[in-house]
Amino acid sequence: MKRITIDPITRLEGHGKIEIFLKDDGDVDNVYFQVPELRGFEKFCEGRPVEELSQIVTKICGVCPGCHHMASGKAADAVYGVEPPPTARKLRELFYMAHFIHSHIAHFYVLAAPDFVVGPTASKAERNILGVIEKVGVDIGTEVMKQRRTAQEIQTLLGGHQTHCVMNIPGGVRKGLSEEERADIEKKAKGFIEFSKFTLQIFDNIVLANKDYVDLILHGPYSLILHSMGLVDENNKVNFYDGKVRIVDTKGNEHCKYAPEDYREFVAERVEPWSYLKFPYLKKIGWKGFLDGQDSGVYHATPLSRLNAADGMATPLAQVEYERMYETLGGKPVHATMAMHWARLIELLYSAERCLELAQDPDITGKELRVPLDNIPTEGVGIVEAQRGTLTHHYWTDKKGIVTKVNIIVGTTNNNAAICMSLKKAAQGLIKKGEEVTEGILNMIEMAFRAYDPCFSCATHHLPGEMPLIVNLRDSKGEIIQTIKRK
Amino acid sequence: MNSSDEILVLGLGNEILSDDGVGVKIVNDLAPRLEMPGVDFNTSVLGGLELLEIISGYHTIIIVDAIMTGLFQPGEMLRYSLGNYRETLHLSNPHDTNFKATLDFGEKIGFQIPRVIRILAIEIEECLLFSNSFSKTLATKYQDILQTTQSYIKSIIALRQNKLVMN
Repeated sequence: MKRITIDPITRLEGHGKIEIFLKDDGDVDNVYFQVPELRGFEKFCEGRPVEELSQIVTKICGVCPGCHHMASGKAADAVYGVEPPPTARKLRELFYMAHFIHSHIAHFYVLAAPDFVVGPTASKAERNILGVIEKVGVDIGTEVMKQRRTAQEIQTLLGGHQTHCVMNIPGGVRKGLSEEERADIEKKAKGFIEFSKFTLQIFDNIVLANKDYVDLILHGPYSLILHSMGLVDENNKVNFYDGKVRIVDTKGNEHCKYAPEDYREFVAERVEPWSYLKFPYLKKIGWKGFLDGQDSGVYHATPLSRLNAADGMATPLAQVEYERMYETLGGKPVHATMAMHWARLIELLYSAERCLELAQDPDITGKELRVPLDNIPTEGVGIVEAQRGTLTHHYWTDKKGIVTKVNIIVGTTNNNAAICMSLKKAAQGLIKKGEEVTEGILNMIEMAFRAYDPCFSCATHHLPGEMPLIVNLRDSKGEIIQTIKRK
Repeated sequence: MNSSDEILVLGLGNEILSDDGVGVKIVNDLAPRLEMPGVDFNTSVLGGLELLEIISGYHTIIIVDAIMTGLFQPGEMLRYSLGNYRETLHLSNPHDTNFKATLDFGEKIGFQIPRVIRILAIEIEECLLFSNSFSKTLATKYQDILQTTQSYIKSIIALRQNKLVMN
């Protein structure tokens, strides 16, 4: 058996790698994706007042601090058995839209666009944001920075800090919004909408207008038939901040819809001896292995799964784009991994529109920012959609609100099995017997991984850099026959 | 944009991940000792394009971060510049651009990139455990590390203030 190791050289040498095992005939047999594990967060939180957790969890990582802050805030509400007043709820959601806008812009322009704008097999020196602005114009780079900065300003205003937010307290938020501040956000939201439309136009011009790319999305080695998870509102429309978790099967039929506190009835986690990270699966189907298809228990929680799991978008322009995507890709649900990029841009437009809606909502400058905490604290679950999947925080406390136990399922953990399977499928489709494994092929395998926008800062710990790689090709005796290094 | 004739000492790291936060603690501890006109102290847990806005406009930046090469003793201070650049724990970011690409991108779109960039990387042994304390090894050596970094940073500041560093 031949063995190829794609080693992202993580913080600890020897951990965090993609191992590709080849059959004797040179085709891919299996793929294992391994990442190192963060340890002790649950223990770290024990003994602390539950209201402190929403500030502690923002330090899990710098990529999605706002998501942890929101899930934590909602879990703390549930611990005290309270619902924030409308103004507080809407302020939280407004903050959260800015967080999504900031993150989705970064993913598209920094991580996704280089593969399509510069080309999936282009040299690494060109395949980055510099290559993107060389092709589409320096002004776009300036606009990317401006829009990201603007979204950060809204997060800072509402959250108290762009990264280490302090807005949420059990039952509400610390600070309200003045009319002057509201008017400024309204103006900025209009800019977000225009920039989102512009970004979707770039996707149209560069990806959808290129037949090879459309073929790659629909017919390349980037397709997995999986169940889809996403948070929906009372009309089954996509919602990032609140609602119920809906899961549709591979054919688009509703598998279940549950309130946050019931998550353990529907999702279980499997441990594999070769991985530090757990593999969540649908409890009612059970773990059937790393298999796709209707009978599998594996699901994904991504921008695409959110759109698959919903009946539509709650804002008008995003709804038009939603319908266009499914019409173009052959109807719901879509199982093309690369369509996650398109779905992410539709979510960007939704976030921008929702940001404007909230900025124009009369409640947003209301003065009632929190409700009193009259109940004895016990246990609570908070669920939001993080940019990279459904995020669950579950806290237990004593009668004084001191945390006794914590359980967190982060977005990327939901997708652990799906990422492994996507890598395997990409490797099987791209690595062929007798053919050299080039850097371009390696990047195309990485594209399967990148589409999920995985965040191992939260799920385990982050992988440094732009996935520096070492690939060893070994013959059936384990001898290295080719080494590719990329730093 | 920041002042174009100032020095920024920037500590990077996560304070609740054991040794990972050593850069942040060093800068927080040195700020009151080295406080002087023309020198700013800041800390961040962010990398990628976010750094561009933090460092833009300064003439000189001194970044203090953790590194984990496995080649040196924990607590050893490694010195890098763009000439012998090696990624430290937070100058890389899988969700964003790496440090060098960030600088190139910033220059391309008109940001004022620092003329002098010095990176102090502290070799660490633990960055996967949630704790607001260092590992025993690093905790034991911390005061020495602080002294060493203080001396080095003071020398860079002195060179700049005497206009001796011009690269």
